[in-house]
Amino acid sequence: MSGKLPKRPLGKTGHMVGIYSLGGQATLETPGKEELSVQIINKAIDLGINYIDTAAWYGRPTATITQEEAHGHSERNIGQVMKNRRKEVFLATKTHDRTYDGSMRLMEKSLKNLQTDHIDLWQIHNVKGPEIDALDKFFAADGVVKAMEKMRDEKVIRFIGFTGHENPAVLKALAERYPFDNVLVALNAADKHYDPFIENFLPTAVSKNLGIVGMKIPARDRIFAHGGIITIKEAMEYVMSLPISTIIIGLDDVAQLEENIKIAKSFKPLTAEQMLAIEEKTKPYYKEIMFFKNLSEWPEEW
Amino acid sequence: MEKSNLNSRREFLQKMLAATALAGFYPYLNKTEDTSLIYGYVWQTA
Repeated sequence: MSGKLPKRPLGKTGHMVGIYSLGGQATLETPGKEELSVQIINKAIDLGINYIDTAAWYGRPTATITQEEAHGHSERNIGQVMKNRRKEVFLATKTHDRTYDGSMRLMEKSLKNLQTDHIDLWQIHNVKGPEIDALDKFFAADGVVKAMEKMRDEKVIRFIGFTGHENPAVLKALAERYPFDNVLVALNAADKHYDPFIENFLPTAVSKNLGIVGMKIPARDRIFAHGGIITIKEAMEYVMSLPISTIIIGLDDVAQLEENIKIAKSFKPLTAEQMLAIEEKTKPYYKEIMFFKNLSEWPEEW
Repeated sequence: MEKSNLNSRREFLQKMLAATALAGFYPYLNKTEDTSLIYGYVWQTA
């Protein structure tokens, strides 16, 4: 595959990130698909991807594996590659715990799972709307941010951030309260139709010079619903045209990876007219697409 | 979409595209479609 993956600055981190990155869900978090996961991760790095996102939480339960046992499955698959290729990627993981002690325990597991002694980016996972009234706890002496600062002081992590897919207001409040380095946020072509992150959060993230990573681009393929109204090319180009650093997408197989790489390499920003047209296409089924804003049933496998 | 809403949305998206260019996110492009828009726009979050 010819050409290079275009790169953009990841906020103020100094890292130049490829505009398309590897998400740690889908195959990578599915028990029984370890061999395919390692293939995908190695191929992604071979093709120029230099940012991998995962989380202590990621891992799908099965009939024989509980959710608690499944946690860390994505990290463990990535760790199989990191033990040999750690220097080739900017590695991001997350804590779903809001306390100092709980987050420190998760960091210990993440380092072990990922087979590394340092993480580039550690993020507060899945900050939800109702938490806007409890943000003081995040910043308390026994809160998650203190754990992050401690790990950064000890050079176990380099940068800190937060993630969210449900509510722009709480992400905006976090960005305005503390000098985070990065945000992972749900951004897709249906966003404008309900409490949009693009209008209600993205300008703040840009003004704070955060690294901005877009997720939920195909929304677990729901954006292709109804006979393929939106293509993956349209879905990716819509978000890559925004003032973001990179997008992450979970993958089923290597073929999807290669297709997405091809789209990213040939990317040219859309015009406003093209973006308007794509937005209009998603309007009839925006609730299905944006299950992550709790507008419809979540996918069964989530 | 009503015409006024459409125009408003179009203007917002144009600002987003301008902000993307201003942020240096298109360094690999030789040109954009409307340079006067991109270089003339100052991002405001008010």
